[in-house]
Amino acid sequence: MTITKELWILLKYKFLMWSNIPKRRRKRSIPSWLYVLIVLAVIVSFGLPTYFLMLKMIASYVQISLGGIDLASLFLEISLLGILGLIVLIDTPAVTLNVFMSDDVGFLLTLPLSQSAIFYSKMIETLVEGTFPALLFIPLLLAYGNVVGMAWYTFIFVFIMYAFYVLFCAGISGLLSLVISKFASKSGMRRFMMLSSMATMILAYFMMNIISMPSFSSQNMQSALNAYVSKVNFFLWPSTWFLSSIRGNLLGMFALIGIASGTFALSYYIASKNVLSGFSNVISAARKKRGKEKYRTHGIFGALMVKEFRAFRREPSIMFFLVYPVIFPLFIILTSSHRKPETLLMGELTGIFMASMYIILAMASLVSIDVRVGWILKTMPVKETKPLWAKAFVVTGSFIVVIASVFLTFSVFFGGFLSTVLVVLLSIPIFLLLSFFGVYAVTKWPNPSGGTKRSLSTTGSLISMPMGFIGAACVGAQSFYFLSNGKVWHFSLLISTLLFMILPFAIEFALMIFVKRMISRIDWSEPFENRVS
Amino acid sequence: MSKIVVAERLRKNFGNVEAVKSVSFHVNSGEIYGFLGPNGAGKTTTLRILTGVLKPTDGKVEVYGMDVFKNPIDVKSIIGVVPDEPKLYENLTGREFLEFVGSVFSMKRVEMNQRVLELSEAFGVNFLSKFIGDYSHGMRQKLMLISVLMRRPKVLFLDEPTVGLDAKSAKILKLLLRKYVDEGVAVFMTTHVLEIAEKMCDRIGIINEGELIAEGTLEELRSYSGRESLEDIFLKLTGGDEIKEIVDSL
Ligand SMILES: Nc1ncnc2c1ncn2[C@@H]1O[C@H](COP(=O)(O)OP(=O)(O)O)[C@@H](O)[C@H]1O
Ligand SMILES: [Mg+2]
Repeated sequence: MTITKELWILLKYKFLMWSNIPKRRRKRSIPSWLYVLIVLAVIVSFGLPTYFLMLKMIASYVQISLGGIDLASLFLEISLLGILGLIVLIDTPAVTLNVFMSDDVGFLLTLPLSQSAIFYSKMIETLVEGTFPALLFIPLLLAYGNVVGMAWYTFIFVFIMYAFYVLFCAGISGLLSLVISKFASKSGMRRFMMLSSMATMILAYFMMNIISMPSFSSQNMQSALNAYVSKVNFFLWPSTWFLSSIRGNLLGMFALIGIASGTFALSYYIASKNVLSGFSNVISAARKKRGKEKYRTHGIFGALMVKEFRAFRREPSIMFFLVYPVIFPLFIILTSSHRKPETLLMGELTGIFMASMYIILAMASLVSIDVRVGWILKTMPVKETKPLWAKAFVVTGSFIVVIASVFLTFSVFFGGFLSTVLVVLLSIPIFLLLSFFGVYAVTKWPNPSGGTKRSLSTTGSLISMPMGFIGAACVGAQSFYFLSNGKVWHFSLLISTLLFMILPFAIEFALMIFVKRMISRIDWSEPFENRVS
Repeated sequence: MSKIVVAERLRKNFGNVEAVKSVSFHVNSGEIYGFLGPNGAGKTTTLRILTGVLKPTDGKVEVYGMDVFKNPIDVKSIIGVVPDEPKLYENLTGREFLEFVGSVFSMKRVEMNQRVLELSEAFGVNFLSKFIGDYSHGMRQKLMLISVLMRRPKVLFLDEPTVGLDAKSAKILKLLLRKYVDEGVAVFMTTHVLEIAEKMCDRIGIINEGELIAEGTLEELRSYSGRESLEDIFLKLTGGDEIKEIVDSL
């Protein structure tokens, strides 16, 4: 069988699995035309405003020219490099987890399918889910094209080239995950995790460093600007090839198509070398312990905490959650040119936003581990809420420890030690609340295909985002309030107390009531099936 | 009789755990080879290596003269594998799953329908239109068996095949395997249950802590050990002599 035929079969049945989900859960599925309509409405309501915003911005940027390039094109290039960093950062761990830690790879390997086909089908699956940020670019491209005055057929060409650019980004993720698997195949999960997060971090840091603005405080602003432009508009960057190709440069076009195909050809070549059977999930890098083991027992709650902590530490996908809330803020902090407490605070709030989001997901994973083991906990003399508290403490504690240690270290260099302490303290209650929200979320929106890797459905994952934002907003508002002694900006004391103190607390309180009520309604005998309504 | 599956000095390390330590054996055409050993002995690991799912740290596997890791596709198109804990696609129905496997093996529609019908009847399978996610362990195992047997592979690898099956299905599986073996198929199966090895297998290899410690037909094993029942042989070889002591101390 040819690889295209193999891929076709694999993807066809993957699609079938996906479209079977509502049938299996016997949900009333909405008619497909309505579905399309809703998706269209969402796209338009996000896309149109973005388009007009971009149009205005690009129209003004296009008149400014620096270092031989207009600002609009420079902006396009910066954003393209940003997209590259983002896709690599999001997709690489996803592809790695999906390809090398999926349950079904073992089964597929017993079938006469080429390993490249298995690898590609997994990769395509992941990319379809993980490359959504690339769509955000469409309004920008449309606006740019309109301002520059492109003909309609040129637009088609632009989008084809953009597709190649995205393919290139995805190809890099695929290559990275192959390389990581090559290095990690002999050792334990821990090293696997370290390698993949480090590789993506280094690459993303590199991208961010290119696009971050120089400090303009120097007297020699013109040369600083020129240096910056030549750094971004460098002839070796794929973004530069994209730009030159849509301006009609054939060399840029061939370079981009070439490199995009090249990354795929290379990953095809590596994947065909039996990488998948070379890799085995090393369940535990267990050292053989000699002699008699000593056993220790804990009280009930202690035992639950220990169990949850181990589950947390040993589930690689959950460990990734812990890494992101510090990586992203670190980019902001490290790539900014000013070392001021304000920069640090912005980084911290970003971190708290990410952490709030991932706390929900981590909690969901922990709960779904328990639910999948099923009845074991139920046969034990333990009250149902106890394991939840243990989980919430472990999750909140871990995130707080990571965030606190990273940001407190930075505050030594940036200043603002006390404000960092304050921010960390203010995060504790909201983290706890969001942990419990995670419990609610996983029973309300469980991932229908199961698994602890992604335990929330798409809806659930999407909802975790605004929830995370609310969390960060509450912490942010309260810290602003305290840091400015109750007078935030030019608001009067009353207004700022209302807005920045009372309102966040009211939100937290409301969240508490809501979560408490919802959790008390969960039927733990079948938490995923008899969902709270 | 020709050697269909040949394993030479297989070794597999996981980190610093030696799961399989230089194991060599072969499976002839027309025989059921039983791989018998206690839990954690390295049976599943060996089976995964034999079927090309897991690369050995060292050693070589040939099926019909083809190296499993050099000609993976050719080998895999003539073998059938039933894993011990079939992790299947929860969101496919049994029928859709069979279709998937049939497509991968480019089976003809008529032939497939015929075979699935026969096998479903044999194993009492009437749940193919349900989602696999709602199957029990035994149901998954039956589905997996059907998906493998329907395509008449020349070599069969079964990991603890009888564990999830009801008595009648286990019996039918036994008879079916015997029938295929008589037609020239080679079967490699693992088990930790003595009676199964005794009743189903023509030759038995006993594996303990990753090492093949004895091999032969039932008679050969008996004369080698000088004791009567296989249970005694098995316990002796795998260090079960102190059983009475153990039980007494508890
Ligand atoms: N992926 C893995 N990572 C680490 N150790 C493993 C892995 N798979 C198996 N092992 C270890 O190898 C040994 C043999 O396991 P296995 O082959 O599954 O035994 P069994 O004979 O019960 O099928 C066990 O000690 C097991 O813990
Ligand atoms: Mg086993």
